[in-house]
Formats: sequence, C-alpha cells, structure tokens
Amino acid sequence: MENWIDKINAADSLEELEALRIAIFGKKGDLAKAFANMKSVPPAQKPVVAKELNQLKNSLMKAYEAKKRELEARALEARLASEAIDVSLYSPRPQSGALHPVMTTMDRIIEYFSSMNFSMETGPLVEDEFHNFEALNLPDYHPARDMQDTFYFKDGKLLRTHTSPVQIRTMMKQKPPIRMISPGAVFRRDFDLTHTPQFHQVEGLMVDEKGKVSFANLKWILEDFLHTMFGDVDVRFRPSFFPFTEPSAEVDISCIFCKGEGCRVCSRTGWLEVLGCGMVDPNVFKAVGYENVSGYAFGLGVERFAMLMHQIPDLRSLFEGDLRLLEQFQ
Amino acid sequence: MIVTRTWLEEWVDLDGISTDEICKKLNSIGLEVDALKRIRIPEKIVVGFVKSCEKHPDADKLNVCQIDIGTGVKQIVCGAKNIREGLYVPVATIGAVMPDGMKIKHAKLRGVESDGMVCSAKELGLPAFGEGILELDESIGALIPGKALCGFAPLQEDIIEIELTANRGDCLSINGVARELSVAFERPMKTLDLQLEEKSDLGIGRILQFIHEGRPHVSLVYRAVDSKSLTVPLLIRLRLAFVEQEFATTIDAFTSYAIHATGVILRDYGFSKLVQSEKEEKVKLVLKELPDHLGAIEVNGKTVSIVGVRQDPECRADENEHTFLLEASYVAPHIIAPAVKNEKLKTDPLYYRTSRGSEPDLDFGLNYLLKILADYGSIDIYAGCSEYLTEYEPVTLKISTEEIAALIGEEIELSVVVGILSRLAFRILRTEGDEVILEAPAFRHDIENAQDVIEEIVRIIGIDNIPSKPLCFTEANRETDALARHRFLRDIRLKAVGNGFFETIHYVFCDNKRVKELGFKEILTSKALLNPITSEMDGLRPSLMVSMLDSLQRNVRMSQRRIPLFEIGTVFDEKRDESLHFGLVYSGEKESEEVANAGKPSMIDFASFADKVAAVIGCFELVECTVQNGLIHPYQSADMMIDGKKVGVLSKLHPTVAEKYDLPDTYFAEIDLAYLKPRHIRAKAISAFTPMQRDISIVVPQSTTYALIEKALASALPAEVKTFYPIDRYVDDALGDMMSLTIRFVISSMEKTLDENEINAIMEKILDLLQDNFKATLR
Repeated sequence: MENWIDKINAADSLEELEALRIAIFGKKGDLAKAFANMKSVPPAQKPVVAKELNQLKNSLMKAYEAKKRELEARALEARLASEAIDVSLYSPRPQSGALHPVMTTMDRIIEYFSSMNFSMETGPLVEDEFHNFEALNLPDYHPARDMQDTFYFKDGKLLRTHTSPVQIRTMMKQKPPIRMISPGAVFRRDFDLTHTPQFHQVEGLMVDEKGKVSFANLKWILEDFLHTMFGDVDVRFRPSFFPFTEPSAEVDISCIFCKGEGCRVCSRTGWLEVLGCGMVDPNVFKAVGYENVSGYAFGLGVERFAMLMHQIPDLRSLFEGDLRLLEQFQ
Repeated sequence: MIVTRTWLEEWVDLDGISTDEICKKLNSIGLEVDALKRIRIPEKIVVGFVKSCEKHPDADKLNVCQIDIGTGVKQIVCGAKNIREGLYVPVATIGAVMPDGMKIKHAKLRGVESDGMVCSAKELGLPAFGEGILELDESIGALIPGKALCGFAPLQEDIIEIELTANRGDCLSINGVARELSVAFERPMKTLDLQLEEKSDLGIGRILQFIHEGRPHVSLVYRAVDSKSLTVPLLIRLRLAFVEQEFATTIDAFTSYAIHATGVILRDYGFSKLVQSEKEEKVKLVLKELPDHLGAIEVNGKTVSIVGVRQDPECRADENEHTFLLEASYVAPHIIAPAVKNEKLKTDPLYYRTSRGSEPDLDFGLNYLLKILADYGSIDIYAGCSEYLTEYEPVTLKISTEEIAALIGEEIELSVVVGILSRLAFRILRTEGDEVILEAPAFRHDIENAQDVIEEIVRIIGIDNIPSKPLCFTEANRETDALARHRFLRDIRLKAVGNGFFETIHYVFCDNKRVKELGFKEILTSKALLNPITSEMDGLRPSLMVSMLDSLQRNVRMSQRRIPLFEIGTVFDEKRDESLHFGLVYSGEKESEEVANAGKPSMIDFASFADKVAAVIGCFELVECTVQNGLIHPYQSADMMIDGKKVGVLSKLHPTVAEKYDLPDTYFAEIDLAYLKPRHIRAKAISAFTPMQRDISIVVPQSTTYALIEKALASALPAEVKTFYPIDRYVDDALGDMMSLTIRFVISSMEKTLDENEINAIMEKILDLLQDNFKATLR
C-alpha cells in the first residue's frame, strides 16, 4: 500500500492523478478493500490495524491534495503561457486627435482672464470703419488705415484688423464698469515668412469711474498673466505708441530660450516682445459717449504666444492642417 | 530712423556713456532700438599718400604706386580706376587682418612687388559707396601719412536703428533723438555755431520774387546761394551711407544730410531750371492756395511743387548748376495728412516726414544747410530771405498731480513734473496749487491733451519704476453668453479630439473659382473683397469643407492614410452674413495601421463616420438630404436633424471632387453651430426588472427608407418598448426588389418581468403595425 504515496508523488498530470484517486479512494479502490479486510482481523488487533489504516488514509489524502494543487497550478500556468503575446507590439498609437496649439493657447488665455473675473465678448469679422478705426482714434488719414494693411469690401466694409472693435461695441452696449476680453480672428493684408493674412488676438479692456483704474493696475495684471503663461520670467514695459491708448507701452518678457543671454529667437536682445497695452485714450471714450471714466486696454497675438510656448518654427504651418505638426499635440 | 553715435555727439554731450547704455535708455523712453551695428576698422590700416602712380608694365588694369605710409614709402600695386597721384587713401599694411578675415601679406603681382593693399570702403567693412578705392579727405580729421584709420572717430561708428512709432515725427532727426537723450540722461545739448558770412551786396531779391495768393496753411522760407565749387566730403558720404540715405546730386547730398540732422524739410531748386531763358535774371515763385489749406508753388504757370507733398524732379538742380534756391517748408501734420488722403495726392519720399510732423524751425534748418555748404564748399550766400509763414497757436494745457496720480497709480511731486516737462521743452506758464499750466513745444505735434502730457512723464520716469498694484473691483457675475458658448464649444472640441479628430485652422479666404465650381454661391459683387491679397484668396468661404480640401490634399501628398480633421470657424453666405460652423471630415482608413488589424485597416464608411460624429455632438437623426452642391454625394448624404430641426449635412465627398484632390474615400459633416446647444437632460426612471430583446425580420420593398419605418413605429408602439434600432439589411436575387430588414426591440416594464405571452403580444402588435403601414411580411 505504501508505494501509493510514491505513485501519487510521481503523477505528472491531473488525468494520471485522477486515475490514482479512483484506484486508491474509489468505491472499489485499495483503501475500500483494506477497510473491508478489517473483518478478518482478529478483534484484539483491530484497534491497532484500524489506527494504522486511518493514518495511511490521511497521509495518502494529504499527498493527493498537495499533488492536485501542484498539478492544477501547473495547468493554469500552462494555459496562461499559451495565451502569451508580445506586449511591445501593441504599444498604443493613440487614436485620439488633438486640439490646435493656437486654440489651446487661446483657451488658456481665456481661462486666465475669466478666472480673474473678466467677461468674454465676441463680435463680427466683417466690420465697419467706425468700429474698427474711427472710434479707436484712428482718423481716416492715419497710416494704419492704408489699403496696404486692411482688407476692404466693395461696399466700404472691411475685415476687422484687430479685436478692438468688440471693445467699442461692448462699451456702446453696456455701462461701466466693464471688465472684458475679446478673443478671435483678425485680418491684415500681409503674407510672408512672419505674417499671415489671418491670425488671432485676445484683447482686454477695463473701464471704471475716473481715478479707479491706473497704469499700476495694468502693470499688475499683465505681470501676473505673463508669469502664469511663461513661468518665472522678467517682464519689461517700454513706452510706445498706439492711437487708442495713452500712455502706451509694449511689454517684453526675458527670452525664454536663452534666459536673457541673447540668442537667435530674441535677435540677441535677451527680450521677447509679447504684448501691447496702455491707458485708454480719452478720444476713445469720447467716441462711445463715456464721461468721467478711466481704463486700461491690452492686446496680444495668440499665434506668437503659441509659437513661443511650443517652439513652433513656422507661422504659416499653423494654417496648413498638416497632421505631422498636429499629431505632436495629441 | 537711423542715428550714429558720433553724429549724435555733435548735438549732445554723451561723454562717458556707452552705446549700450544709450540703447537701453532709448528703449526705456519709448524709442525702440531695432538694431545696433558697430563699425570698427582693423588695426594696421593707415593713411597713405599716393606720391606717384604709374601703369603696370605687364597689366593694363593695374597701377604701380609709391605710397607714403608715414614709416616709409611702399610700393603697392592697385587695380582701382580712381587711384591717382596726390590722393590720400587707406592702406592695409603687411600683417593687417581685414574684416572679412583676409590677411595682408607681401605679394608679387605680375612680377611687381607689392607691400600692402589700397582699400575700398567695402573692404574696410564700411557700407559700399562710390566706385574703387576710398578717397580720404580732411572732413573726418587731419590726414597724416601713417596715422591709423581706427584713430578717426567718424570711422569707428556705432549705428543705431530706431523703430519710431507714428506719433514721434519730432524724432525723425539727429537733433530730435539727441534732444530726447539730453532729457533722459540730463545732459546738455551742444550749441552749434551757425554764424554765416553773407555776401552783403547781393540780396535774394535780385534773383527771386515770391508772392502768394490766398491763405494756405503752410510755411516757407527761401534762401539762395551761388556755388563756385562743391564736392561731397567723405564725412557726409559716410554718414549718409550709414543711415542708408542715397543721394542723386552733390547738392542733394547736402540737403539730405541737413534734413537728417535737423528734421527740417529742405528742398533745392536749380535757378536755371526755373527761368525760361538764360537772359532772365529773376525767377517769380507764386504760392497758390489749394483745397484743404494746402499750397502749391507755380513758376510761369507751371506747378513745381505742392508744399510738403512733392516736388517736380525736373526743377531740381543738376551738377552743372551754379545758383541754388534753397527752400525750407513746414505744414502741420493735422493739415497735410487728411488733405493728401482727401485729394488723393501723389507724394514723394519727404512726405513721410511732413505727414508725421517735421521740425517747424525753418531758419534753423536753412542755416544748418548753408553752414555745411560754406564749410565744405566755396559759396556766396545771397543776403536775406523770402518767406511766407503761418502761425500756429501753441497748445496750452493744465494738469494736476492728482490727475497724474489717478492715471499712473503713483504720486509724483509737482516739482518733478515741472522738471521733466521743462527739460522736454514744454513752456511752464505758471503753477497753481497742485496744477501746472503749460505750453507744448511746436515740434511736439503729438501733444493734444493732458493724457498726452502724463505719457511724457511716465516715459521719462520709466514704466519699470512704477510699482504694480492689483485692482480693487466690485464682484460681479461676468459669465457672459460668449464665455458660456466658448466653454460649450471647447467641450465639443475635446470630444472631437477624443474621437480621433485633429483641430485645424484655415483662412476664411478662398478661391472664388473653386466656390463656383463646387456649386456654392459667391458673395454678391457689390459686397465682394476689394483688395484680395492673391487671386486664389479673392473670396470668403461659404463652407468649411471648401477650405479643408486643401489640408486633406496636403496630408495625402505627405503620405498620410488616415486624415480626420475638424474646424470651428466662420463661413459667409452670398449676402456676406457670418455664421459659425463646425466641420468634421474623415478621409481614408478607419484606424491607423497596426498589428491588430494586420496593417490593413478598412476604409471609413458612412455608418462609422456617422457614429463618430454622434460621439462628438450627441444623437441626431439622418434623413434624406435636401442640400445640393458639388461636395455632396447624391446617394450617400443626409440632413442631420436634432429635435426635428435641420442642423447640418453629413455626406460622402463627391467622387469627382475626391479624384480632383487625389483623396481616398472621404466623409464630412458640416453643422451650423447656431443650432447646437447644450442639452438639458431630464433623467427617466429605470425599471428594476430585466429588459428583454426581440428581433423581427421583415420583407419590404427596397425603396422603403428606415426613417419612414422609424417614424411609423415611434408614434404607435406600446410603452413597454423602450427602444428599437435596425441591426441588419439583406438583399439577394430571390428577394428581387424586396429587402429583408431586421429590427431589434428592447422591451421592459416598470412593474414586473414580462412573461413570454406578454412579450409575444407586444411583438404581434409591432408586426401588425408594419404590415398595415408597409405591407411588410415576416421573413
């Protein structure tokens, strides 16, 4: 009987083990036979034989259970192994698309200013001279109104050259205080390496009672905004000129590529021009019928921000829909 | 505007201030420095005196010169045409390294020894002007053979290019920029000695009669000179080259130089060009009034100039002229700019200066010009001048420190304000309490109101010196419709991205030819673009898909096999009214090629594309297409309906167009965003009991559209039918004109699990409906 243990231990498959189980523990198996033979054992020896037999049964059972677990584990492992694949073949190629870098940049700018409690306003692309020029203190002999720069229509209308007309429309519709941005497409008649006839701007306007809004406030929000967009950069304000603001300034950040050392991108100046801004010119308020107010305004080119933030080398590529560029933004 | 350091130094004291500091200061006061170029003549290049110059024995074009270079006389072979005895020339001696890196060595040219090189301007690293070698003269300093060229200040120049803003006409001169630096660095301006020696016995009246008709708003001053000899000195040639100013004649070089230095508009007239015959001794100039207060100069009934606008080149002096009439003029920019625009006048290059505001001090400009003519030439100046002057009221303004503090956000003391403004040449009339009353200088055409003056203060103090302060403002709900709309559209854009589409931006411009070819309507002629940038961009797109074709084609050419794109953008109808559209397009393979699809993904099809669009914008119905244009496939196209309203169109791209642009199978949807709104969802109760599914296959004529079946069922089904949808369509020869359509029904009750009999009853009802409405038979 003892060699059953060796046979169990030597079993190599669940089938073999099952055959052993029937041969040992089955109704007609050896154990059943051995217990049946107890009848012929003299009564005095019975307790001893019974004890031995039960011990044998227990150890056979233990060996069987252990072997079964072992073989089951082995079978599971074999099944799993048969399902093996080369996972490296399936590194995912993302099936998702991507937002356009100019649009995500615009989204980010809108999020900043809406979190600073600026409202958002939009306006038509086809504009008239009043909203696009005259109300913004650009009389009709101003150089910026040259046919060279503006797309005109035969009926005298034009494609807006900046998003500022939205400021005029908003001021004529609402009373101060006004705290708004106007993002959108604008058009200039210019097409070369660094100019496309269409690009995107975000403009901001803050108007309140005279004396409430100052240049110091304008500086604060633009510094905060530029730090949010570009991180730890130096911000520099340079006096400049725009017909619709006064005082006016251009805003530079320290070059994000060379950290102000001077490189090709910043034309070795260490600075990158990113914004125009100023205090709203009194003539603009006059044009919309506002009195006793003061305010600031600013404007930026979204493509410029996107190109700087993502180091996109070619402006025109932003309008070509080439997947090799767009896929990088997945 | 280009200025040079040594030229500035003639006008303002810049001792001890580096050019980098000057540039930094210019930037900080609003004169943006665009470029800084440094001219440095290398060492070992010296002044040489050509003692003799003879033809090379073996070479026609070469000369053999004996040149005194201070340390001795060297024999140098030179090929320049203008080399001659008695000239002072730059000589690169042995060991000199030229700016282009060439090293000067002893050489033998066609058998003749040569100990150095005579240099042209270009070889010295100067702008290339004149032909041949550079002829030196004493306008740059005393010429001593052997003196190093790098010792001459005008040859060691820092050239600063300033990008002037349109309001600063007063800085279109060396004088103007020097004036700004004088204020910014608190350094004095230098006084120029403009004393002239006039030939007293000849008055200008001898040769000029100047009369006016009407009251044009212009100012003119005339002077006259006789010239005996006049050549352009090196200093003037050099500086004009540095500031990229070309000149046509000798006198033109002098006037251009004086204009650039003083900012006064100066023009020369040749006396002989104005008189009708040589016998005429006097020229009669008539100033006539033109519309919009402009003035024209007439001679013998012929217009020779429109003041401030242009001059007839025929009346300018040529190189044979002996008597020059010199004119200084001024027209205020607020007069001239609108007038030129209204009258559509042709202008010459000086108009750029007049329109931005030239220097109004005419005598100053003329005296400067006469002074340099006298300094560098031999001339006789006629005594006196002829003039016609228009007086302009100076702008008087009042500002208070309170006003300044409110606008800047920082208190500035009155004494500081007064100090800055006086240095900027404002006339301080008086101060009253915290107010100052002042007059703007005549050359500051841009100063009109108090805010203009505050800008000046900000500029000089420096914006960087104003502390930033957060604004205190009233809380208000500023979530406008536009912002809500932006967020809604951003969610849609993100869903499009999640479903594999790439966002694109296209120009709104498109080719009208294409618009017509594709069967869209062009914008009405009366509203068309007047000045398109190219003929391929002469229209505005009527549909996003019209411009997206270009991106598809580009990507196909770049070997892309799967091109899913979208755009949210403006389109224009024939009346040029704008609407915002959402365009989705899918071209080529349904998935990217990968192991999972054995590198052979199937092509995009109508159903898969519709599913993708639905995943982006939510559910819609497709019904028979009511739109016709060249993009739409007549048999695989549909109107997209949401809540019974048409929101857009979904179609296969017409194969003719696809072929024209080399595109594989392409599907597109274009949705008018005015109809796409965020949906408010009201949740329905869901049943606790397991829903059952039953399929029905019916046979109906192939012409029956599913939309009709759906409509008939939707209105008549028992409430237990929660939803139903088609799952199979089958045709074969045996069916002939008929088709088999399998529809799946999901049935569930709120009260209980339905038993087989109840379900069968519902299905019978459905079958009855189909039989009654479509004569459908069970398959």
